[in-house]
Amino acid sequence: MPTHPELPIHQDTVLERLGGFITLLRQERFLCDTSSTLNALQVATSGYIEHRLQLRMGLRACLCHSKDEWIRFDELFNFYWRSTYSDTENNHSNNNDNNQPPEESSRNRLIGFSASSDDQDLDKNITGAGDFKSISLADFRFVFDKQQMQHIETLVDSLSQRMRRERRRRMKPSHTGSQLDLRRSQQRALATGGTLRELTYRKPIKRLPSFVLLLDVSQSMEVYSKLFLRFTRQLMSEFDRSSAYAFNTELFPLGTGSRRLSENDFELAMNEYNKGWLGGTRIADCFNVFNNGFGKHAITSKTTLVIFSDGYDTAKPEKLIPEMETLQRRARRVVWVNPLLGRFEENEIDPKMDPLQPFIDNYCSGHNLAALKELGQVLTSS
Amino acid sequence: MTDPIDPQVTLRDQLRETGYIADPALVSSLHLMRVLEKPLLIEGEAGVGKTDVAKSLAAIHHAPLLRLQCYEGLDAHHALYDWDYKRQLLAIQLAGKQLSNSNSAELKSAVYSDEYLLQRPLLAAIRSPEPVVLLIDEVDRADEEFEALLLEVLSDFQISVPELGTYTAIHRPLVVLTSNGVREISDALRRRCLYHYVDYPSAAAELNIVKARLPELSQALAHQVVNYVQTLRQSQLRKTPGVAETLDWAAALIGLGINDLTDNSDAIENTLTCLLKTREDRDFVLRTKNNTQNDANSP
Repeated sequence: MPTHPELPIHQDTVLERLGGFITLLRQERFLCDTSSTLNALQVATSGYIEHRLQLRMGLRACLCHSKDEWIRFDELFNFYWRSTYSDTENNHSNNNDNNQPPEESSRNRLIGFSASSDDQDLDKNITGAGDFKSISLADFRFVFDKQQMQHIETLVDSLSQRMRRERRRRMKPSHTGSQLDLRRSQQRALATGGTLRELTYRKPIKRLPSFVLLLDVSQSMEVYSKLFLRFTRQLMSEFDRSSAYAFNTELFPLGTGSRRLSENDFELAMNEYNKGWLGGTRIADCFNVFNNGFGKHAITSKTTLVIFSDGYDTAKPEKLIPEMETLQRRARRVVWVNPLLGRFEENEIDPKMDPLQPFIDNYCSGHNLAALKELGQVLTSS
Repeated sequence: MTDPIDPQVTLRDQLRETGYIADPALVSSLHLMRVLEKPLLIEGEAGVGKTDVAKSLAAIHHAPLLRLQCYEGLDAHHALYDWDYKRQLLAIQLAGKQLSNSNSAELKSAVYSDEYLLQRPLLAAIRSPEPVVLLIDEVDRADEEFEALLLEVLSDFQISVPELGTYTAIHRPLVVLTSNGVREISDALRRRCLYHYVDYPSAAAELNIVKARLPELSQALAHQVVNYVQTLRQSQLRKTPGVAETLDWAAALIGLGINDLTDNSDAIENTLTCLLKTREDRDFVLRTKNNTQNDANSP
């Protein structure tokens, strides 16, 4: 058996550890199903095991299914397999430790997003709860109990169901319509020897709209972020072509609707990127990163972009203008939800948001239930 | 047990002969695609050479390339098969008056036979008596319904035609799917494929590609072209130029008889259309160039 001079390994050791590696990848949310595992096993038993580089490339082709996984794979591979290739006689006493990615130990729960709920403390501050009418007009800073949250979720559910569906190019057969389906009509005419007794028509299928949601999770948005995150998750569970991103000093993806993310998934994503919590908000920088990265593919001319932010930026608004211009050009519609808008008088404009107005199609507050309902109407309007 | 290195070296050389310069990771993925008989999903930005992988594979294997260009609304009748209804009707009407109970069944089986079956790329690939390369191009442009259609084909390499039965591939085709990431592809489809992500090449790799594709280009000009494109890719452009654009640009320079880009900003400006595909990008590059010149001229 040919052996790489730098890699004095034992095959059984590596095969044994392949299972552990796949487990690690699953923990890291890779799409490793049985088929992928079998492929990986076949790769490992086909001589690839003798060559670290070949094994890495082979396993990457089998076990990755997206760009994100592709990018993260090498780091995980190097982390996991280093010990196997460098110390073959290791009795795996540290296997359990190795199964944890390097950054795992440094993860800390994000203040304000932890599951241990500070809601109980917040409950003490609730004033005027009980009457829905008053609740619906009260700022979310003051009303935030479980009952109201359930009501908000119900509201979002009903909102999602009422969303208008958009027309698409795919057609479906129909008994009525303006467009004749000649192929199907001919097909049906076969039964009557070629006589067109019944015509078949076509009409376009409608589908759910797609949303891209950008959430400001900086300290200044603490009270609202929690709620907007819930709103976002509900929206994503209804509209699977949607995706969400959070930002403070950095931008990071929360996930796509097709992944059916749970509340826990959101929390994990938030905790993974907790660095910028206290560092102010760099909206312009984050939007720049978005426009040159995720945004290129996430936003199409059919996407409604929803930005949840109070607009407080460490940079001047002028820096944000070119980014907003790009977003508006790419998206079908830009909706900016600013919870602080509720604190201004009617027709009074937030000075820091004033320069951005030309690039915003709908400017909403979303600071209370009534405003959230209005936001729903804005999102449902075509 | 065979050493996987040797066949990969051979494959890399074969690809090179067809003019495709592949990095080791891509060669490994293509080798695995053949060994595991699985489709290969290649993702990457536009113009990085995803489609050419399939073309080169077809050239290497001397196999026909069957291409299915995806778009929204693509359905089974355009991807799998369809019946030639007009000819079926003619056949029925010709036989119409002579029909009796005994031969009506024969007529039915006759009109639903191979003669009236219109094979589309997927069925053609499955039924091909010789090995073929099947390119399902820009699969992200198709919709979810089409993805569901692909699942049976890509997992079992078989297609069911209700009137005729199930066709299973005589020779499993080499299937290459490409995606620009316009739309997120379903996990079900991803799971059925090996995966490879093609990034923009490094300067050295791109230089090799340019030399392989355009041997008439001088060494100095090739360096200048590649360096300029590599610099452009660092800029924040709306449409970053890919390898295809680099080759187009180099070919344009050859066509215009330009041998040197040093102090020849007019030549660059006049041929920028080969590299930049939006007005904003062109304005940005020209503005940057002017600013640089002004800075250089200022005391």
